[in-house]
Amino acid sequence: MPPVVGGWLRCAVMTPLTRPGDRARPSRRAALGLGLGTAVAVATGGCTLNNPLREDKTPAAEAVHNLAPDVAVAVEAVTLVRGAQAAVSSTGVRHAGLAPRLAGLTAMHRAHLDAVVDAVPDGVDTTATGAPYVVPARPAAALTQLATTEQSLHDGLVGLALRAQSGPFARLLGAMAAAVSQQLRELAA
Amino acid sequence: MTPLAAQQATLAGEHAAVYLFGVFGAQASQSRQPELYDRLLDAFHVHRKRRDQLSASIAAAGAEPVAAEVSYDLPAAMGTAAELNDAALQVERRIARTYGQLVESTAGAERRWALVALDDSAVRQLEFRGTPEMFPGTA
Repeated sequence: MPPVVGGWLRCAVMTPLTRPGDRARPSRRAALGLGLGTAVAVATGGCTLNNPLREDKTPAAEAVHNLAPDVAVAVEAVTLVRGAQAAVSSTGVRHAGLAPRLAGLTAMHRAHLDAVVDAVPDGVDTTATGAPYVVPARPAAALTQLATTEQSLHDGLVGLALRAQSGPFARLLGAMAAAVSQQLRELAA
Repeated sequence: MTPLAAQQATLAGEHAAVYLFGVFGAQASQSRQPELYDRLLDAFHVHRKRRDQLSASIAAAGAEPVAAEVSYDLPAAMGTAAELNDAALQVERRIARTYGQLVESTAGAERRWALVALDDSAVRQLEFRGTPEMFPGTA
């Protein structure tokens, strides 16, 4: 991916999305003081029980709601991609023989993160916080499970593309989802 | 670009795709190149369906759907399976960009529909010997 495209995408994410009076990047104090990183990571890491963001009156929920809408979408996108990236990495470590087949996924995730990570405010933790990814012992099962993980990433990106208020950012997320579909087809071949 | 303008641009692209895949299918041999023939025929049907859906959507919005051209420029070479694959791939790449624009210019149900079409076009590129891209529909 040419760097210029990444720059365009970052601009698309950052510039038209903030509502008047909003700040695209909340202050470190706001982000850290309100526990935003933890809250967002929990919200996007697959944990739905006792999710603090389900309760609109918590400080963390208010902080997320006060973010420019697409910044929150970007945070979720980064968290989703990082989760899938970790799954691919773990699979490659457990089954070295699969590494060549995973090269495309690895490169794709890296390119996608490069495109969206700058839209994430400083101090926000986008580390996936769900249960540790357990790689099946058999390579075939590992690939099957990885395909399921990538399908979840695809579906998540489509959902975020629908939520995005910026058209160019929606296009980026849609393109990322389409790229995942291509990789899934390659993985199945 | 307004949503309607993006829909009209996509419809124009689908008119071209339907025409071109019809020609490509006619160039392929159903007996000697059955897989290629089937892929081209499938693409023809998918694009024809999308063309009709777009026309209906635009008409439902009270606008006049853009008409097809009388004919379209054809690739210089369509004599071999490789050349037909290349030609089909170029069409799919172009239509994917068009759907990327439609995603960008719409919201809600229209955007969802465009996302599905973008996804399908990206995968279809692989059927015509394309390689995975990092951001299909953007370049």
